[in-house]
Amino acid sequence: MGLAVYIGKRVVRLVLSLIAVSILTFTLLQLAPGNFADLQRVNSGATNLGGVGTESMVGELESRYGADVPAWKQYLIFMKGAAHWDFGPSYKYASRNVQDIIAEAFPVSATLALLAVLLALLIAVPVGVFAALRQNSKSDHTTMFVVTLGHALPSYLTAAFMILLFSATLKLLPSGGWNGPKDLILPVLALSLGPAAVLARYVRSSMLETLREEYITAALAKGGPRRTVIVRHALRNSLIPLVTVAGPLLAALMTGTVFVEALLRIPGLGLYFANAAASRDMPLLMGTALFFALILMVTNLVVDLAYGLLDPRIRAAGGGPHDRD
Amino acid sequence: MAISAHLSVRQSPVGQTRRDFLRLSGLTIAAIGGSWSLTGCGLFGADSKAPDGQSTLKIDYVPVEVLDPQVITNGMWILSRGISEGLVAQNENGDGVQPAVASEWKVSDDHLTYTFTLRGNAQWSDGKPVVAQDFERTYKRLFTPAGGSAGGTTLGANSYQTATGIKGAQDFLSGVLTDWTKVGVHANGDHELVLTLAHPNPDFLLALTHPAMLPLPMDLVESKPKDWQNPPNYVSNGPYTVTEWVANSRLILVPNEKYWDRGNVKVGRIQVNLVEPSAAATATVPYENGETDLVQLAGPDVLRFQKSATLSKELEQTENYSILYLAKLRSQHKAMDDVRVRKALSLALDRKTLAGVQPGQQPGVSLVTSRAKGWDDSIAIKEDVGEAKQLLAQAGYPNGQGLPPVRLLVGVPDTTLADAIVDSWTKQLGIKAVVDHVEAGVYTERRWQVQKGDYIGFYYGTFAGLPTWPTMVGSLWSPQNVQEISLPSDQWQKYQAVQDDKTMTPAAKTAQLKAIRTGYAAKPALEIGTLVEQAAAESDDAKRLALYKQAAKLREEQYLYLPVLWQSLFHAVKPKVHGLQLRAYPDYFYLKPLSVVS
Repeated sequence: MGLAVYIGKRVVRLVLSLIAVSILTFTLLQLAPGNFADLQRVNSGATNLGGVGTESMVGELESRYGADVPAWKQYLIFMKGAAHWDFGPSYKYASRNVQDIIAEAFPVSATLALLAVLLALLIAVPVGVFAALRQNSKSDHTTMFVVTLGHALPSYLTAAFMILLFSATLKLLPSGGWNGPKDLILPVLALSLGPAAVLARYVRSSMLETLREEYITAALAKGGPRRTVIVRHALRNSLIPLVTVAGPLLAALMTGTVFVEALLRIPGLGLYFANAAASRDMPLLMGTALFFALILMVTNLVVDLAYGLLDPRIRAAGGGPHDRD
Repeated sequence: MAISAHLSVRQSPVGQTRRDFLRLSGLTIAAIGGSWSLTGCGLFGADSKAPDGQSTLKIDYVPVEVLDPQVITNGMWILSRGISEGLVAQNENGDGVQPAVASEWKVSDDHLTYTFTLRGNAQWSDGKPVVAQDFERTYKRLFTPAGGSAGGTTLGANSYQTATGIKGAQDFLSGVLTDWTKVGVHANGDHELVLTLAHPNPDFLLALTHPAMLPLPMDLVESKPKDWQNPPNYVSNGPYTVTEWVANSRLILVPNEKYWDRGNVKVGRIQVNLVEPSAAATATVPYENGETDLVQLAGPDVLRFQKSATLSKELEQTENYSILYLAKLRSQHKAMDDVRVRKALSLALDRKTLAGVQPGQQPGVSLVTSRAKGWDDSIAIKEDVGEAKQLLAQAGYPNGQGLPPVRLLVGVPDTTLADAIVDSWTKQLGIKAVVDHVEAGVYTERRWQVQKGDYIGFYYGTFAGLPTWPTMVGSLWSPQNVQEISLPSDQWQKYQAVQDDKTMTPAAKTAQLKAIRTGYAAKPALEIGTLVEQAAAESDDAKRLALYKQAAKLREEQYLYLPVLWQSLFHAVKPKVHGLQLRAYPDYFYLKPLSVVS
């Protein structure tokens, strides 16, 4: 019962937040200079049609939203459709509805994000454990320096380096595109290094904290093998808080792959979002912004719920998830 | 005893539950990861390969967002390469036409009526015959104002070129004419199409090669107005058809098995990589890494290719492809309204030096390039810094004193040439000049505005099109454009208000706009319009050319649009690609002649 109430409250807050996001996005778009039609003419290098094109474009916009539609009415028309998961056709990709674009492009971004997080975990856990076990040694400092560097490098800069190294110099991997599994390697590598750094630091501090617990001392005192104690007792408990970091990281990656997608020519949702902003494509920009916001909020909710499930101490203490508010 | 038992019972279920949960969650994560990997193939789209024994040709192209040739987007230029086929196609040089869907045609004695005979064996990729009604229905869709019941175009500017000159087309498109039978398009049975012009147009056949004039499968378009462009729905009548389209990634083209000339279509599969134009030095990585066989090159890459012993052999140049020009901005300040100031800036551009900034450029001495038949330097600008300085002095700005900074409004990423232009003005005239580099959206909005205060200058643009006088005088920097740009600032604001008025009928709006142009545009600009109309109606070739030249020269003398450079286009092409015929036209080449030899 407490759980149901908690989830209900979060859903209400989620809906209100989505409405706020939509108003903010729409307003910023109205304030931006330029409009889709003019940009389309400039960007396509087309001949200037004088008044004819202008009249055609105005007529088309009218037919889409009705004659002489003020901005607030455009917004309401859009939101009415959005409530039924119908964002209407994109201006730029005129033969596709925005929800269809999302359905096609999001799996691409999600795949990159998921693989990147999994790879990041594979890198971060051993690195973090290694650093923790050798706390304050040269190995620890060196590892943490490399980790900090990885954290500081933007993923698109990493991607650019990798293109120059693996494609331009070694010619081992494609420099971009989305035509087969080989095209996954560079983007996943580029996207995983930052998260790996974050997770490694977190694993290290969590591991250090766990190693100081009395039950570790007790296990060692019983004569248990050090390796067994570290892996079965210390590591497992250290990984529980990782959920609260990995979850949001996954969501952030799903919605933040835009630069890597642009650089490596991957048809993910982030690239559509960037293109929508650049070309003032209102339905596509609104649709992707709302979808990203939804992903982030739902993921945070799931993480909060999962954390309670994973850690029995929280449940045992009698605290439901609502206590975390 | 009791206490001990209680503790024991409580501990065991908790531990077991947590251990089981962790085990299950681990398995779940592994399953999810595995399923993603397994479905990875689906993520990349259909697993299509070239048929056995045939190679895949890979070409780079800008992203295609729309496959409707009636909308001005990059998509229309990939269609005209060989996905759709019009009545005629350009010849190898791009200066004439050859038969395409039409096997032959007749022209009436008054040069107004063209009667095309369609091939009996021309078919759409779905097996239906290509008939004359397909063209008539397509053109009706093209000429119908957006929002009309006939379907209109999808969002975006209409791509019809006014210089084509089909009778009634312009009026129908602007809503002035609503009776389709008065438009010069008529199908006589399945295989005869009659097109009637408003005036004789010796370049009419070339104009028909523009993507706007490509036929559409209207049954499909009308039954699936949104989805007709998306494979597997897509139907075309050219040598190739689209079987796969991943936006921002690729188009996959395969031979149209129903094409009337199927035997001469050689490549089994064409992968069009949709690549956003990117910075030099990285744009060629896919080409040198074997990921693409053909790519367009930017300036610095051209230099690198030219210096390489191997790469220079793979470099193809298309001369005089496009024109870099500057267009006057409207401003509250009156300095640029004085033609002497504008002329001075044009005469002091130092085009020869500018031409050396990047490879393949020539001084742009006129808006009409020398590719146009009959071009000569009688319409060319002769640079003269001394005269330029005199003009500035006469206009009240001796040695540039008192002249506000001249701005160059630029909306493209690369400002190399813009910087060079302001350098020229600064050095040659001693004036202040600056590049105003803005984002594309800002550029589109500000270039039409009346600039505030003492902001004066030009916006920076490029055009490419057919090298014909009707196109280069009648469509590009058209008489209407010249008239509009010559309007005083206050009248331009009124003009824009009329353009933006959503309550006016198309006919009324057109009439009001014309009234403002007639009443307030500069007289020479109005005269240019008269000359172009006379040229369009003139049947004698020599007289018509003379009229166009007169109009072109008069346009140059207004210095409202300044030609700066004639620019080349460069492509890198792998040796295994045979049959490439590059033309100085925005679709660059046709796919049909291509073959791949390993």
